[in-house]
Amino acid sequence: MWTMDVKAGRRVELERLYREEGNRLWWALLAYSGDREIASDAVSEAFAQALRRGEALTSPMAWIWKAAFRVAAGELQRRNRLAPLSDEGTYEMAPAGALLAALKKLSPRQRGVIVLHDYAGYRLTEVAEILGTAGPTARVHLHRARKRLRELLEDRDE
Amino acid sequence: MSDALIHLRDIERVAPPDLWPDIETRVPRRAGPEPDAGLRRRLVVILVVLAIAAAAIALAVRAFLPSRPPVPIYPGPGGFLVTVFPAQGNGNAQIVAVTADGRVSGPLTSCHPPACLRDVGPALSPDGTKVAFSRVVGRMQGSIWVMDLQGRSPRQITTCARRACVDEHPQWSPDGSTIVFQRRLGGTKGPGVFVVNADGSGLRRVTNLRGWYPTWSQDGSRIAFASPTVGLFVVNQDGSGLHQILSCPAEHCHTPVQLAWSPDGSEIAFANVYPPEEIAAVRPDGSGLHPIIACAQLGCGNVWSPVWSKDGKRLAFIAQTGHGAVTNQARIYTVDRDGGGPREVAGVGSGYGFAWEG
Repeated sequence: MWTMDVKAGRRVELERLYREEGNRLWWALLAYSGDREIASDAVSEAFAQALRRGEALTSPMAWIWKAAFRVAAGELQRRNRLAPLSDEGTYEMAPAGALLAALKKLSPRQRGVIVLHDYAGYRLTEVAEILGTAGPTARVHLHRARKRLRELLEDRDE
Repeated sequence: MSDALIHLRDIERVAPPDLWPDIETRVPRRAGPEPDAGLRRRLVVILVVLAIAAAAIALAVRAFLPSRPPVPIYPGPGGFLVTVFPAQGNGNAQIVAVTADGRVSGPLTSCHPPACLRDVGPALSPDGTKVAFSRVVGRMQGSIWVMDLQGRSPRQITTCARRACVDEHPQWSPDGSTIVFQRRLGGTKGPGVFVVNADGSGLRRVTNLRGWYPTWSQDGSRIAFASPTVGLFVVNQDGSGLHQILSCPAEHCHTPVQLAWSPDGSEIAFANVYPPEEIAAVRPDGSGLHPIIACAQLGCGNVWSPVWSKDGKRLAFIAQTGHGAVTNQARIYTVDRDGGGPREVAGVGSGYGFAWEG
């Protein structure tokens, strides 16, 4: 009985977190991957894994963000091996199509850093932790990503 | 806030799906990141950094501590290898390098009781790359060893089946293939002259006559040696042709030791360690015995170990303040072969038995 109560409590807590943070995580993953399917799969997979781990997670939302980005990164890598990312389909997600098209022209690391830092609000040390890179490297990626994204979006505005 | 953020917010204009029903029923396919992976990674990094720091500190400490054996200064042109004894007692003697201008460094060997009592009597190979010496490991226990000039790769080349057996005073043959030395056996009345190949093979006794301090002739065909209280002898290297060239005691010949055949083959120098305490020389046929330099000229108590320069024009030797092999003050001198121009090179504490790259 106690075990069932704990599991139920965990489920309720994670659903609450999903309702509060799920959309923001999904948008971040969409910006990162440029693909609804990848973003949805990563969010679902991360929350499902969190459900299984339950009490083992002391900071579930931080863990979910990290897990989701790793799932998405893995899927992007797999797809890139099969066929490089293209603009195809991006404009179907108007009105964010221009942004997504520009993001796709960044490197995966640059996309991850700018999305996690500038959109999701993580500190650079946390971004580096989520993406599995060094802090100084993340800072360089952020600087280059901002510059490149600004140029790309200004080109489209003109 | 960066201007990129303004654009990034555009992403929220895409309608997100409700994924919770899928999450509730989904079977996770991956393990996902370990919850404490970051902490563990940080711990690993900290441990690695600490290990590197510890290694760096250890290296730094080691750099400031004397190593065993310390890296000697190569004796260099005109330099010496000398046996030195500690200030007190006669144990744990070691071989040091002395440059031509008197700088002492070493020891070359690592000799520490109880495994090693003394490393004595260094002899340079003719090509100047190897050193033969005697390692004494106990009372009446010693053998001939060979190492390179930096003290590396020491290798024992003689062994003796007898419990009481000391091999000492090695001298290289001119071609560097063979070493002659004296062997003292317990219970016998005197030492014997032996030769052994430089690789330790071919050990044989040269003559049954008691003899010590052997030295090769310049062409390697003959060996001169002293016989205690009898005199000097010369024998062919194969043991034939033994004959006495000098009877001692006599004037300028009183218990001759540490013989050295000159490079031109014309003279055999030796030390008289009892009065008149002098370096003397004699021709191989026994004629022309004459003193080269005496302690009376130098104010010393004894002289040891005459060694010829390569050109045969000068001799180096050790002058000591007292009598016997071990005293508290030993100084290296060089002198012209006719006894002129004595020059003090360096003080080496107490010592005897040495080699010269002169």
